[in-house]
Amino acid sequence: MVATHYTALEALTHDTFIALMNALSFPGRVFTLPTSNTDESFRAIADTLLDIETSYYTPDMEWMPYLERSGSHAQPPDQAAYWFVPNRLELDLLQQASVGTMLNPQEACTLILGCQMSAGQTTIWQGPGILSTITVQLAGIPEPFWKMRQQMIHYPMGWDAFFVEGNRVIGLPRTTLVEE
Amino acid sequence: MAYVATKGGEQAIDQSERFYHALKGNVTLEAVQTVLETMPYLVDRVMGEGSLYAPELAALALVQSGGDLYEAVLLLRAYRSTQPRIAYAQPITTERMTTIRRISAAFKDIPGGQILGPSLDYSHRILRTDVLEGAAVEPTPAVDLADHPAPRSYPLVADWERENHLLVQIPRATNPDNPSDIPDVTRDPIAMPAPRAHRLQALARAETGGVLALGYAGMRGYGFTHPTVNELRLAYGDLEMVHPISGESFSVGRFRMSQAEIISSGGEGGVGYKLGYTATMGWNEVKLIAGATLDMEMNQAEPHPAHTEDFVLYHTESVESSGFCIHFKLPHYVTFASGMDSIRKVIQAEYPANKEGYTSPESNESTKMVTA
Repeated sequence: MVATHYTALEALTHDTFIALMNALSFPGRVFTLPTSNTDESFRAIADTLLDIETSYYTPDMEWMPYLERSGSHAQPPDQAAYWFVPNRLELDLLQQASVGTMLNPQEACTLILGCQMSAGQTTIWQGPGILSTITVQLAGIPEPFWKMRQQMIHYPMGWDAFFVEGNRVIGLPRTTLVEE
Repeated sequence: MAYVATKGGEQAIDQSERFYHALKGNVTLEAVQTVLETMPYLVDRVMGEGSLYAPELAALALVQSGGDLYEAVLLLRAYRSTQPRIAYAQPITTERMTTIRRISAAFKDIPGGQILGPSLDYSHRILRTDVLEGAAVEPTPAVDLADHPAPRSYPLVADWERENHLLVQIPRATNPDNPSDIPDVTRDPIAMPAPRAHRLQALARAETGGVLALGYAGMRGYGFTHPTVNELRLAYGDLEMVHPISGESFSVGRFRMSQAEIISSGGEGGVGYKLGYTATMGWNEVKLIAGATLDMEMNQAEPHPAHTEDFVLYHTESVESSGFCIHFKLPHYVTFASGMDSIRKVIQAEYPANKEGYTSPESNESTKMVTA
């Protein structure tokens, strides 16, 4: 019988996927990735989400060789399915993020953003997956980010985001209402 | 539709799952091997509907689900969705399939000849009850080897018919520059009218019983075609890849596949024949014939309502249909309570004197009848 090996990489991407799935299910809660620092977390997320039929965008040229390992295609910001932005996000760029269409909202992009947690601006989140409200503090995200998000998201259209610091991840689906 | 979040009950759910597993056999490597070796056609069915060619995993899914086919297909599809796409195989053409069964009901002397291959078509179906009484099972005699091995591949009957102008000519398919440009039903939602690729993929992984039910309805007279099996083929396909460095094509393994072509009179402009087609991973003869019939029915200008493309493709989707069906078991308390509230309000408005509760109008002649 041909054994299907459960490789170390498969275990890593499996655990990473569960953390990402839980993060989007419970916006604002901190979940733990099976990694030990931010770079490792970005690599694990890339290994988990990218394959030969996905596309990515990163403003950070140093990351391109790693993101291309999976066969994923580099695309301009408005066409990429996954954004990998380990360092500060440029707001002008964000305007170009794909929000999908009314017929195919799943074609919207997913942002993976580096940040600092428990510092910076405090925001109050509510919506599906949040019992009443949850307070989230994030630094390294430019302040007009939240206003721009509000302008861009017209449910079901809109993008989803993950905030990553070290081995921690917070999910922000398009369904969440954020008050500054 | 509204749902209430189900809270608590974790212990009940845990015990319920234990009870379920206690009523079926253990999931062991031995059980998986037994299924793999003794039930290849069941494994084929699950692989076809699961759209993942992995006999060991399909056998495991069958053992793990206790043989519940919908659960087994769901397990396999869920596993499939976790796997990254790492490369594209080369397209497979009929001429290159290692064909072991190839029959035609259209005419006897098809080019290349009829190859019966492995089949129970002409056998008596007798249940061997003596086995249950401990009778020794004589092993089936091995197949007598022919003096000359049969050819590995055979031409398509449809190609001969095209050459003889019985079927419309079709341009030779060219491989797309980028295989990811081929519409993929496992990744994109089906929009109607469905691209040809979506239709064939949806039929390939459709629920076998659903395809048969709709196809059989067509054959019995709700459809417009009397199908003739132009060609039914069981084969092994080579999974060919292009080596990333040498650029050479090579086979990484073989898999069981099957395809059927159905023809019926009334080709383009009413001349010659028209053709329906279905292919699946694994050997699934009933599904092929029913699927190819449906393919032809869906091509009608005005098909029966149950044979339109969206009716067939949406309602034979195994995971969606079985999942939607069983979701009705989940608490619908809010939906039901709101309906019940409305009924109570009507009763209260129409039968204000009845403090004890509702009694049917028939039992009380003085009560005003409710007009629906």
